[in-house]
Order: sequence, then C-alpha cells, then structure tokens
Amino acid sequence: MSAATSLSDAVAASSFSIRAQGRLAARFACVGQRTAVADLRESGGYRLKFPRGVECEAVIVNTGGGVAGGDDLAFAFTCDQGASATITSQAAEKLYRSDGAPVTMAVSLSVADRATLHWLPQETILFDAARLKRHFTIDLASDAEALIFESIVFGRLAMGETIAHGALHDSWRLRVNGELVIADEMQLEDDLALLLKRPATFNGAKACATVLLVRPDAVAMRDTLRSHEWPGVEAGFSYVNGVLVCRLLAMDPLALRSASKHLLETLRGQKLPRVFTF
Amino acid sequence: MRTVTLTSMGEAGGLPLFVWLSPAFPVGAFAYSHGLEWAVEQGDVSDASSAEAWIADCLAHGAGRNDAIVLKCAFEAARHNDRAALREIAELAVALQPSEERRLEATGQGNAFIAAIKSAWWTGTLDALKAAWEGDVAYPVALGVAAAGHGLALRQTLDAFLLAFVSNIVSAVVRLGPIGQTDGQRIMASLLPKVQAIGAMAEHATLADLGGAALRADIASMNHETQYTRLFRS
Repeated sequence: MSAATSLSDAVAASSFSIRAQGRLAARFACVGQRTAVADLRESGGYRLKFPRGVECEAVIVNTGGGVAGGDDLAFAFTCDQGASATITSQAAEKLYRSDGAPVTMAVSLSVADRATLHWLPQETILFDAARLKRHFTIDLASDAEALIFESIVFGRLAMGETIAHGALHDSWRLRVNGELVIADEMQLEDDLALLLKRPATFNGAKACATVLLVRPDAVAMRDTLRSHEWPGVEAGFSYVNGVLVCRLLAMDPLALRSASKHLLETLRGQKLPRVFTF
Repeated sequence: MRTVTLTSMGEAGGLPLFVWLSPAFPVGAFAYSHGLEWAVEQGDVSDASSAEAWIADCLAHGAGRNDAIVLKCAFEAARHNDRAALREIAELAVALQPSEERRLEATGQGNAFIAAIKSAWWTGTLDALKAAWEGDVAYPVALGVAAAGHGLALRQTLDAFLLAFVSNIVSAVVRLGPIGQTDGQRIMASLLPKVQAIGAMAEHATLADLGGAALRADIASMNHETQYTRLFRS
C-alpha cells in the first residue's frame, strides 16, 4: 500500500469517526465601563451572537440543529479582569441517537479577578440511545464570581419518547486559585430506563439540573433558596468548600424549567436572558 | 523499618482490616447515616425492602463504588510512593463530596483514621501522604494508604471496606427504627454479592471510571442539613 493510499484511508476513516468538529472560543474584556468580546473564534456550525443590551450577553447558536454521535465539541471562554459576561444558548441542545460513538464535549470557563461569568445554557436533551462524554472545567481567580447552570432531559418527552438506553459521563472540575474545590462525576450507562427508576438515583425523574455559585453571599443565598417552595421538583442546596451547590430533579421538564428560572433569577437578582422562553 | 513492618503485616494476612473497619475503631462511624436519616424521615426508606434498595443504590451507583475506586487509586499511589498521584487522589476525594455533611462524613472519619493509625499502627506511607497532601483526608484515601503501607491485599481491603460501608448504613437504619436487627442482617447477606462485584470492578479501575447517579442520595444528605430532630451528623 502506498503512503498516499494509506493517508486517504486514514482521512476517510477519521471523517467517519469524527462527524463534525464544533469550536467556539471567546475572550471578554473591559472596554471603559463595559465588557466587550475581544477575541472570537467560531467553526463547525457554531456561532456566537450578541444581542444588544446593557450587559455583555453572548448566545451560542448551533446552525447544524443537533449533535450526532462522534461529533466533537470544544467551547472555551475567558473573562478578563473586571469583565462581566453572560453566556447562554439560543435553543436546547439535542443529542441524537448514536450508533456507538459518543459525542465528546469539552467546556472550559476561565474567570479572572473581579470578573463575573454567568453560564446559563438551555437544556441538553438526550434522545434515546444518545451518548455524551463531557468534560467541564471551570477555573476561577480567588476574587472571581461565577454562576454555572446545566440541565439535562432524558428522552424527547414532548414526543412521548422515554429513554431506554444510552450513556452519559459528565465530569466537572471547579478550581479556585488553582485549588480543586468541587469535582463531580455523573455516569449513567446501558439500561437507563431501569437506572433512572431506582429509588436513590432518580426515582423516575426524567430531568435534572445542577447549579454552582461562587460569590461572597453564597451561604446567605443557600438559606434563601432553602426557605422557598419548589413545586414539581426535588431540590437540595448545600454550601460545600466555599461553593453553593444546587441539585434539582423533576419528572416533568417544564417543572424543572420553571424551578430553574426561579432559582437563577433569585441568584442573579435579575431576569434570565431573553432567549429563555420559559 | 518500613520493610520489617510490611513483612510482619503481610504475614498477618487481612487481620488488621477486622480491627480498622470494626465499629470499635475510633473514627466515629456510628455518627454518620449517609443521608439515610432524611430518607427515613421522608418515608423513602420505611421497611426492609426499601432500605435494601436505597442502600444498594448507594453501593452500586453512589459513594460505595466511587470510594472503592478512590481507595484503589490511593492504595496504588502509596504502594509506588507516587506523591503526585497521592496528592491528586487526596484532593479529588475531598472535592467529590456532594454536600457539606457528606464532606464531614468523609473527612471526619478519614482524619480520625489517620490519627489512630499514626499512634497505634504506624507505617511509612503515612509520611508519604503527609508530604503529598496537607489538607483533610477522605476516609477511602486514609484506608488505602494504611493498607498499602502494611502490605495488605488490595482486593480484600476493597471488599472489607465496602462491607463496612453497607454495615454502617444498615446499623444507622436499624437505630432509626424502620427495620429490626434481623432485617439488617438479611440486607447485609443479600448485598454481599454486590459488594464482591464492586470490589472486583474497583480492583482494576482508574480515576476515569469514577462516576455515579445516586442524585437522590446526594439530595437527601443536603436536606439532612436542615433536619430539625436528628441522631446523626450526616
């Protein structure tokens, strides 16, 4: 076999194993009293849009519509000293059925001193037999603030689909000043229908959300959230190692949306970005 | 000196595990319910079958499997005197705790275990751990480091640790009232194959295998922090 043949074989093989590569990278910096995007790189169908507004708000748009097994996504966002930005997404991210290869996703957020980042994407919907492997890395300077939100819906519930199989491995690392303060490893595999029904896992819940808050008033916010009612969801709040950790579980994704909205608006002291239609 | 210790303990087989993991060992295991006190209060755990199902989840999808993997990695790092790996696993094991009280459960027992081993069962791997990590020590890291130092078998240590994990939760549920002593023993016997299967998995696991799905057990431990009347610290 000639070198040229083996190279084209390799290219063909890799184009099968990696369907698409989505990349987004942006840096937010202070410009006078405001925050503006400094460097922006977009590829593979992902775009970042900036609606006009008072604060710097970036909206992730996936022009491809959904994500398929084998797709490889990498998002990296940085907030420079003193900058303040909110990143959200235009729509729920849909993960299609996979023939075996997982979607690999790396999200990296970095926030400098006196900077604030709110990461508020809409939910990730795992279709039946979808596979996702995500690495979520958050690096904060000692004087940085962050509000991090992620939610996952198991199955296209609006279509009446309940998830039977699939895989989710979600690995989170939150560091403050280089020190690992929160790590989380969620791993669900194989017979998800059975696993999600177990009493100490999800007890039949079909959607979950995680919120992390790093801010000087995090303990007070924990007590505030504990004093509220959370209809339709099971909620837990704890202040661990300097971080407010919130977990929500719900049978109905709409109940999760409305609880998430209330939770995030309470923590923000302001409305959610306008792209949130709930 | 260390070699002498290893040889003598190697000859002792797994006997130290019976002491270290007994309820009489001074780590205060009796004070922690792993969130079960809340699950009992809420009615999630109300009889033998609901207790067994909940504990099986903690074992197979929660702290049981993850602590076993952490123990294995700490054991290997200590055995090879790999301080960078020891530091990584010690830091990760504390950061993985999902709530303030579970963090207390992991580090309260871990720190107490290290103190007891230091004063009565000293071994060189304690110095390696201290050089690698100055923070709080999670319980499975402490046990893994001590077991490696004394030349104990990894698989036996994993099985004994997992069985003690189950035993401690069962004991908490018995004290909380919804099940009696006999039901507690039936749960222990029934979960034994699962303990062995997870021990076998963890023996060959790496940090990449960490992960669970016991979110309601985590939420129970968060909510236990607000429980008005309580016997347990977690």
